[in-house]
Amino acid sequence: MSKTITIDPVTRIEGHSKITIQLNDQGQVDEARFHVTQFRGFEKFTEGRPYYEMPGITARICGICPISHLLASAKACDDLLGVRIPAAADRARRILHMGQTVQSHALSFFHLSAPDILLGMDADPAKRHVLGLAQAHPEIAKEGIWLRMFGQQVIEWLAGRRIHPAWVVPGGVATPLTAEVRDKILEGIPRAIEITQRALELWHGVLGEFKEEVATFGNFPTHFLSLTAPDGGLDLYDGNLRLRDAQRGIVADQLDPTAYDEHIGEAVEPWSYLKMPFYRPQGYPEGIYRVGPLARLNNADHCGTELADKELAEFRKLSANGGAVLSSFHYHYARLIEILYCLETARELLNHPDCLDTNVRAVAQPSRREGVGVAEAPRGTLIHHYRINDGGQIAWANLIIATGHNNMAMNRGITQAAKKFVHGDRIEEGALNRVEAVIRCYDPCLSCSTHALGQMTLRLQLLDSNGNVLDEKARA
Amino acid sequence: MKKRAPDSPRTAGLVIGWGNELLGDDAAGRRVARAVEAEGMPEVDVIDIHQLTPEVALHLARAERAIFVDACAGVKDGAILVERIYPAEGNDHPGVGHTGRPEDLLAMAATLYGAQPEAWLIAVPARSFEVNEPLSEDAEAGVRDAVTAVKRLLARGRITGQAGPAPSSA
Repeated sequence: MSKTITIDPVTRIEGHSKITIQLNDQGQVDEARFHVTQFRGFEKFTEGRPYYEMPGITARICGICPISHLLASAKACDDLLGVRIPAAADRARRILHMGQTVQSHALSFFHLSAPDILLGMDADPAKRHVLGLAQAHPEIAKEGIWLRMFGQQVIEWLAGRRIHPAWVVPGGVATPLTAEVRDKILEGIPRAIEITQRALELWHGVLGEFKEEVATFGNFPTHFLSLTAPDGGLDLYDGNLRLRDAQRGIVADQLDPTAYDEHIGEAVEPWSYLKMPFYRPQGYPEGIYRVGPLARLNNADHCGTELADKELAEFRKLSANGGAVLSSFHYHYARLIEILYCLETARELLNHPDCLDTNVRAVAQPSRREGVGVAEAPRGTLIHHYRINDGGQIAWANLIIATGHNNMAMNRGITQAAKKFVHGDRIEEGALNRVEAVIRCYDPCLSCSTHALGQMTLRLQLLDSNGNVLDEKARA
Repeated sequence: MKKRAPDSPRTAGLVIGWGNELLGDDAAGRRVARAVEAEGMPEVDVIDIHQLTPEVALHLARAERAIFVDACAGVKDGAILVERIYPAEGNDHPGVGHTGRPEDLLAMAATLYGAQPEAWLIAVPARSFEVNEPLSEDAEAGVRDAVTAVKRLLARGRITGQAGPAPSSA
């Protein structure tokens, strides 16, 4: 009799989801599935809204990475206007994006994943959480808070608000950078770099304790997709699409991101609201690929900044044969390297001689009826695609979010981990946490969800093939 | 969002409203926060935020009194609930971000910064969480009642605004 174990909802990710683990007649794991259980519908409700409202509207989708939506949306609007934004605006947007990436990666590493990494996968669940981390490693928790707050402050100093700012506008940014803001950001960067370097030391110190997790947390060959700069370097804001395979061979390069739909298809499965993007030439599901920090570092030829490139060289050593780093466990490491890259890049941009240039906005009316904007959100490639009518209202919109790109990989990853750690018809705490932790490697963001009081529990169900509940666990 | 810089001295009152503005009644807490901010009350900081995230603990550590406001799907009779809350004991399953709870943040403020503001949670009745829907009638009424409750709670405390030692941020 086949059985299903359900983990509902997954904890320490952004949004609502659950995991089911299907056992076969022999009691072995057959397949695991990551279900996104809430329909978003953001694309539909934007229809009829003026195009220039889109950055502000879509930024409200997510409380963790609003800037990513803001930038991808603004870039789609730039495309509608047919403008090339001023160089100072490009730099300003990039600095804003650096702050965004730092605060998001800091939250993921220091507060969502550090409990697993520093307290251990098998630690008492009553202590293996952010509060337990604060008790056991207060300095690390405080440094994580400081780093996240610094990223938030960069956003707030630049844009006036740290959540849902209206500073980024179609055609550029609303106001130029000031010397005061520039100096405040520059003042904080050295300490932010020190904190990140200490976290990297910590990571290197504990990595050896996670050999099983490295081997089984989504460790399989896939392609990797991201934007890269024209010279092949890491670029989180702009560039063209690159696809590498598991051997780090280039499959496709310098693809025009506005033609993304020539290369990326979207499949739908009846058990999840989250679509399944795939690399179109290979079809579904063979066209599985990953996005996000791991993919970006596998794809990039270099970071282009001193400290990040030094760490990237260490990252490359994780693959013995010169191929791509395949284990999703190393998303955590890649995030730390990207924080370094962001801080160093922000410093370079802030020290640019034209940093305070006041020409920051190109003003125009829409000259096209269709626009695409692509940026690298902290979790991966984010695509906004709009069509407008003659009145400039949204007639159709399509958003492909980073978590969607990784959907197939997350499903394959939890299947791999479940086969390793789940045995019999009951799920032990350590196994449960490992399956959830695979998902946390990708830092999925499903913030479409509500969070209202009294709705969050972790529920486990063991079902037979007839849907009868054989076992159930719940924690508040 | 009206709040002080991280290195500022203690504040007398802190009001935190959180939720997703695009999802109907989920925005109720934020509506309350903005209404309080519009009152321009002296010595009261306001955080209007999408989700409860760890750095809120640092702001709590600098407040004498904190009031959290959120939408709540389980409230009966359409009336707001006002509850005194305390730091989590750490024996359940706290989180941050999507699953963050006020009690967890209070515990973080106490653990990391040795600070424990008096704290309350106001639950605003919520009926609908559909995309782009306006607040339901119950939630609209709840927002008004919650603003009144916030002002009453702040008035009950002796908000002096005197600066005390502020905790270090790291």
